[in-house]
Amino acid sequence: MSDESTDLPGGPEAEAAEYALGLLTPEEARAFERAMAESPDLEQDVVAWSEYFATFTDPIPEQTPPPALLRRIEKAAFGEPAPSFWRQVLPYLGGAVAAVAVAWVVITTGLLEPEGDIIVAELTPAAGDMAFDVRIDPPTHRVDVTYRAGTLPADRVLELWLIPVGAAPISLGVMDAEGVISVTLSDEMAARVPGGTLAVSDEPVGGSPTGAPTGTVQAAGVPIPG
Amino acid sequence: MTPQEEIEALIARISMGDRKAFRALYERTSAKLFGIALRVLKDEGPAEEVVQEVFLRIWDRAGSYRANGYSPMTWLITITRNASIDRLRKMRSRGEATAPVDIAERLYDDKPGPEAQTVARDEARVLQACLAELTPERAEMVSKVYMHGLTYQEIADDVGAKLNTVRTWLRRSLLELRECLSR
Repeated sequence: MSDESTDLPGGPEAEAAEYALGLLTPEEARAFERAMAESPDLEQDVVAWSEYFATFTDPIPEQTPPPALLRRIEKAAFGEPAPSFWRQVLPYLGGAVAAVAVAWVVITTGLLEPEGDIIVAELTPAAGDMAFDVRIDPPTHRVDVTYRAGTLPADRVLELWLIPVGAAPISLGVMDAEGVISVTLSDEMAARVPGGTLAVSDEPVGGSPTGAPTGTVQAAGVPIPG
Repeated sequence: MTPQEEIEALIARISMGDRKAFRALYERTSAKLFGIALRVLKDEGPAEEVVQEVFLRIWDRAGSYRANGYSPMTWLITITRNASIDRLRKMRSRGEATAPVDIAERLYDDKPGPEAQTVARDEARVLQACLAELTPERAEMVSKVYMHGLTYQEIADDVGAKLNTVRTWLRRSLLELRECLSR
């Protein structure tokens, strides 16, 4: 209690009403809160006053706020919504952008694989820190993707996607627990690889329930033959 | 569940980070709370900002609701009213808001909404009955302090009296009110 209020009628009981009405100075309000912390009766008084005073708002008609307000509030409360799949892989789409955004290791390995050119590339981290090595053997249409670095989100699996130029993502399968997958593409599918993007997303156990990526893109890259 | 229990259940879910419950609470209460903020501030922009501030506070502090014993709507209304008054006082001190009672008041007079046809709840009836036992100007002062955030200084300036004189008679009135309310 402030010294001043002791000269005034009503003591703490009147001060509880003043507090509920917001009539106390900030210093008085803090002093009152300290007193209230030690006195359940005082706190009950404030609650009772608040219940009564709140009825002053009963006659006020409802006014629906503009729809944009909820969006602003949710954005402020929850943070930015997860970007769509396309926004996530956008930096990787298109050669010019990819050349800047993606660190490429493209090696023509005639020495190691006399039969043909192996395309070696890497999928670099998108959302997190996961990175993968990609090895494509054009003659056999075999694609091997192996885990190199990073942390898999808990309780999720990784799924590999091919995003052909101008088309929707096609699942190439769910990777194993070590982040490894090997697939042999059909002739038709292999024909869609050039210029396309490979991406790894995290998905619920068992893989995407919808057939399209539902999780976050963890890594992506565009394999380019050397 | 009663409407009150439903709102309490939503607040409990929000305290555990349930976004759907947060949206449900917004859809259920934002029109009432926006109405209150608009009534106090008489300006949609600041009223929207207050409602945003209120819901962010609910999102962050829903867990503290249980501790204090308020009924859920009173809790929400009190947070909204206090945030609106804080905002109004800041605007007034920067000269962005007009005097507490002005012509705009009439523009925002209550239209007979659905509430007007419903029977006033007990607390409202009791409060009005007890306010009627005060002199009309003191009863009005209490409601103006609540709805317009008048300070003792503003009341003192308005009636041309010393601050402590005003404070003394308002505290006496509040004690009379308390005496009546506890009968």
